[in-house]
Amino acid sequence: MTGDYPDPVPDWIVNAPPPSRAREPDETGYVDAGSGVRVYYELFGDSPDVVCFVPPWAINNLRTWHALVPYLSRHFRVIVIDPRGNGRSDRPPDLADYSRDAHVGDVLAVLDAAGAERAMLVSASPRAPVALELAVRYPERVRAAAFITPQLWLESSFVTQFTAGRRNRYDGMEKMNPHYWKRDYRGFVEWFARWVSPHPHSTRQIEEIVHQAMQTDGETLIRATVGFQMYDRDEALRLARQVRCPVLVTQNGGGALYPKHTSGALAEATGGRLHVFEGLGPLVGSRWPVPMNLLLREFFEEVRATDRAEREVVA
Amino acid sequence: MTAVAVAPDRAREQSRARYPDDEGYVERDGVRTFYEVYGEGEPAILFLPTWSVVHSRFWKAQIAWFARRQRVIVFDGRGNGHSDRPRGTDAYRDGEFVADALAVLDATGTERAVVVGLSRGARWALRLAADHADRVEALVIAGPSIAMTRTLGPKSVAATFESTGRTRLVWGAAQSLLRLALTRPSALVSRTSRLSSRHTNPFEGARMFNRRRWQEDYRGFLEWFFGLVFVEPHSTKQIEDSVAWGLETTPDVLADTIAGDLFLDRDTALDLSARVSCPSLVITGGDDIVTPPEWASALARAIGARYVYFDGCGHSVAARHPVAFNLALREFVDSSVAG
Repeated sequence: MTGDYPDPVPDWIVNAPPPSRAREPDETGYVDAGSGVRVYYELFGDSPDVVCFVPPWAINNLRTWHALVPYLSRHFRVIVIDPRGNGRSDRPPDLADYSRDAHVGDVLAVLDAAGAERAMLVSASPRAPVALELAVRYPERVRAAAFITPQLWLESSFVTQFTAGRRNRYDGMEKMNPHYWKRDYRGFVEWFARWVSPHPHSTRQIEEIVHQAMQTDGETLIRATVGFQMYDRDEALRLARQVRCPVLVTQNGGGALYPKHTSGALAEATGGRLHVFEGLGPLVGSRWPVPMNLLLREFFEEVRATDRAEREVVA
Repeated sequence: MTAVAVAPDRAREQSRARYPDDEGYVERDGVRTFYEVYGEGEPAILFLPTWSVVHSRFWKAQIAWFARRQRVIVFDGRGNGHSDRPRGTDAYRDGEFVADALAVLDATGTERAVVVGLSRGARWALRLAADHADRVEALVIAGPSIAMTRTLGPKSVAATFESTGRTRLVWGAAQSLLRLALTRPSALVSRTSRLSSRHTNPFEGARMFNRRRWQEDYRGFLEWFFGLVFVEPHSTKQIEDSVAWGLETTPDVLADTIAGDLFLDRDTALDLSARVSCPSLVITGGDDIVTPPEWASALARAIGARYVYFDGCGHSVAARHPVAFNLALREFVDSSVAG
């Protein structure tokens, strides 16, 4: 017996309201970074030390962090943000509204709204460029950056599938294709949720991914994917070498969906710390939240202790 | 009687949140029973075996947490785990398990303990509290396999269990319908949309409780049965664990454990309940379709026990919802047993 989820996830689960939470936000709100697009955020806790999760890829929304927020917010003030295209944020029709810069602007606007001068950032997978860009262009706002299985440039395996033409049928990785997303978004989502959750006993995680993904649609996800410019490899590493804040990079120890060399290269270029979750992954943060929580807390506690020590030296 | 000794081999099992501070065997009439002791502090808690289809690892979500504050004792019921697997139905009567429990209390120097019994273990817990009140600080019963409302009598259960060929199918179909009508049709209907029901057809009840069936496809029976125990969605881990524990014994040994009787009868239960004088708690899951909540509530009334009902939970609140179960159990112990 394995954790395989009977196919597909029932509609009554997909259409249900979001599940109850271990901790409710202390404050919620919207920001508009200037382009008329409203972006939703939530605040937890009241520590002066702020941890901000940058918006995830629009197939998810801020609930994707639900196993991390209640724990971390006992020790830090935690900010989570719905991405443009999912959750309670707007789904603008223009490609330009999903750019990397727009996401960077959203994070800055949320930090302003929260009165957070500086924050420790967490990003995941294809939204790593948002955190990298912030760390390089706004070093005064970024105390530290934790990159969870970062993707910074497009992998050829993805590009091949994404730019392939229309097919009559799409199998496996072929579903990573906008024609298929337009034709059968639900089919893509059901496949994607299982593809990123190959470990037994992931039925709950599969339901959550499908639930979040079905808060948006194929057209919107295409815009959020195409409109967000990834770097090319050289540009990403050039920027990474300019990062001055403490950096943590995680890498899956299990069957890696995302290329391991991105994690290692980013850690090396930033001078950051590389942590490999031996035997775990993908989706360590939702499938094995305890080790992810312990790692993130330890990293941010170090940053806090270092800042405090520096302040004392200056004083 | 043949006794098979099995030495503990921790290299082959999953890692544990906590390892025992003491372990050993008690022996009665040549049958060895393996026990473990964790932590220290009073009152001690004895988690009884549930049924020899599993062993003491079934309590893994309770042991480490309770052992932070008090002594926890578990033992592998005869027929599984590191305990012997004697043959013959007489080796698995209630009295044998009760005597094993007393022997474990003696061997661990435990004068009195909070006794927790789940499923078949509820019968042994009830007998301990009624007949050995001096050893029981408090009684906790969860999902009792005690037929407090009408259900199949032991004779028809035995006939089904031993039936073969065409008789077996006729018996199976008739009894499935009967049991369905007698217990909880609403629970059966509500769970058809649930995840684990994909692996489990509750209408197969009587067909699955059959010796021949077990001999033909023991794993199939285990997967069906634990799908019924864990009706909640996202129970794949609990089902996988339990099936693996079930495979540590054999269908023939397991058949010996139920050939006597599947459920304790109401009259015996009422008689035992009347003699319980310690603080008592009865826990049930609202979606329990192995031992319906009606049995638990009726038993709680008979004992005069506190009654806790977990909505949306199946037969094993302890394994599937350990936080809720542990908090309820600790609150009961704290409030009813003077430290």
